[in-house]
Amino acid sequence: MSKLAEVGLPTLENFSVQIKPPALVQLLGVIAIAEPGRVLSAFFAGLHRAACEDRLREVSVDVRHLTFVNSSAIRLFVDWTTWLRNLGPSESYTLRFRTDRRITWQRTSFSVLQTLAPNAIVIDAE
Amino acid sequence: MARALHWASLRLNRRLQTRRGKALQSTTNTISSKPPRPKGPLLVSVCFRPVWAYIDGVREFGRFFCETTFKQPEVAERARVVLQETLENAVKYSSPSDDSRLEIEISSDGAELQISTLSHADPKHLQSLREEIEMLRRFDPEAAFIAAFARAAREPGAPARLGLARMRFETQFELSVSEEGEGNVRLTAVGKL
Amino acid sequence: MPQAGPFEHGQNPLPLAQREARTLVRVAWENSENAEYFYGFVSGYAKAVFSFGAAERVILASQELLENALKYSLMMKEITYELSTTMTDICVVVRNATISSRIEMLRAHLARIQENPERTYTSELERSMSPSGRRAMLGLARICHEANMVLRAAVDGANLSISASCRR
Repeated sequence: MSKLAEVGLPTLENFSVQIKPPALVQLLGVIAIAEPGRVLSAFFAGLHRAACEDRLREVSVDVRHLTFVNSSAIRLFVDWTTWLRNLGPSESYTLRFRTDRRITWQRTSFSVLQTLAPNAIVIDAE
Repeated sequence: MARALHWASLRLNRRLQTRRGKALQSTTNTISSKPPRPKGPLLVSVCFRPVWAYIDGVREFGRFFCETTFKQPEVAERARVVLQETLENAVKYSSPSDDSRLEIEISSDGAELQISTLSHADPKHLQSLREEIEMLRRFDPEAAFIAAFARAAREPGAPARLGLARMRFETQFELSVSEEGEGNVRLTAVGKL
Repeated sequence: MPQAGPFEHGQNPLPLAQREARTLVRVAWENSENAEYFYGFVSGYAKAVFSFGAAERVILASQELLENALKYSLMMKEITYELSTTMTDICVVVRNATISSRIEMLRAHLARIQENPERTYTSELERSMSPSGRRAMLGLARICHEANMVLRAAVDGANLSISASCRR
């Protein structure tokens, strides 16, 4: 049974999530609320925990339809990368972001995110 | 009440100066760099209480305005990011009082776009904003954004503080901060059209 | 019963005392092709800032004055919208450049509204529903009759400013 599929989905206006086991997460909409960490941090942590428990080698995160985020929301991806960096080699997995190169925040932020964990972050820009 | 009158006189003063075609100057001492001269005529000015609920509406209005005025979707997207981050900054650090006001202005001379916020903030915030901008300006926008990511990664529980660096790198707008009157902080972003 | 104010020469038809007035929203369009998005914004803004009744008036006046300006403004000339308040009043002013015949037509129309807002409103409403093809001038009559606001106009060369004001 996929732990990833069991992760509880957050409720947030203008934002939605779809999880497609074994290892695909789609984020859609806009995140521009005051403290996105308060609403979404536990969800992102849940995804990370589930990926470890499922012993996934790779998690695909499709953000192509996440059209706008504020900088506090970018922090969620920084945190996920930090958790990933703290894993030992045997339990680590690759985080593959599917991005849309026409969307500026995706083009700029994910390339910089990759500098934090070059071996663990892969960007597929379409 | 006194602050409300101060705001009204400040705005009137600025308007008169703009009409006469003069550069806008801060009314009192400038702490950091001088406020940049407005880039051409004032196109949009919106004044509201600095609460989060207004941000989405003002941001999207500003985006549509830029899209229809400048006919470049890419400029509108950059303006959207600047509006979001400057408004967030002003709302987060505005003094919590009933007569507190936040004013956003958009102006352009056809070559550059200027977006600025004016709000009443804690003096400590003005100082930290000034230091943050000075630090950012020592680096090129990409290097500063990478440094801000690294800092956020090192300090997991702390505020992200990515907004200003993001604005510079993602939108290629340059930032400055100045004080106008007692405790009124103007954060200005200027970028090429 | 509200009265349409005088048609003045000069730049400013603002009925609000300048020293007290606070500008809440000011927008200048250099290109007037599309301001639809503005109606949504000003509607949300007015509802957030004013009481329900005042917000409804501001929304109606903003839409009607701006629509007129967009229809009758000279091409490539600036249109400005301004919403301002004092402790007691609200004022919406729209400025645009237009042709002299439009100004004359407006002068006559405002005089009719001033004379009898209700009758002018009814006749313009009937005209808007008739198939005669003559364009109705319902907008200003609505501001005066429906929104119970005072209209004023001022002309400075080819620039026309129309204000609609009411108590908060």
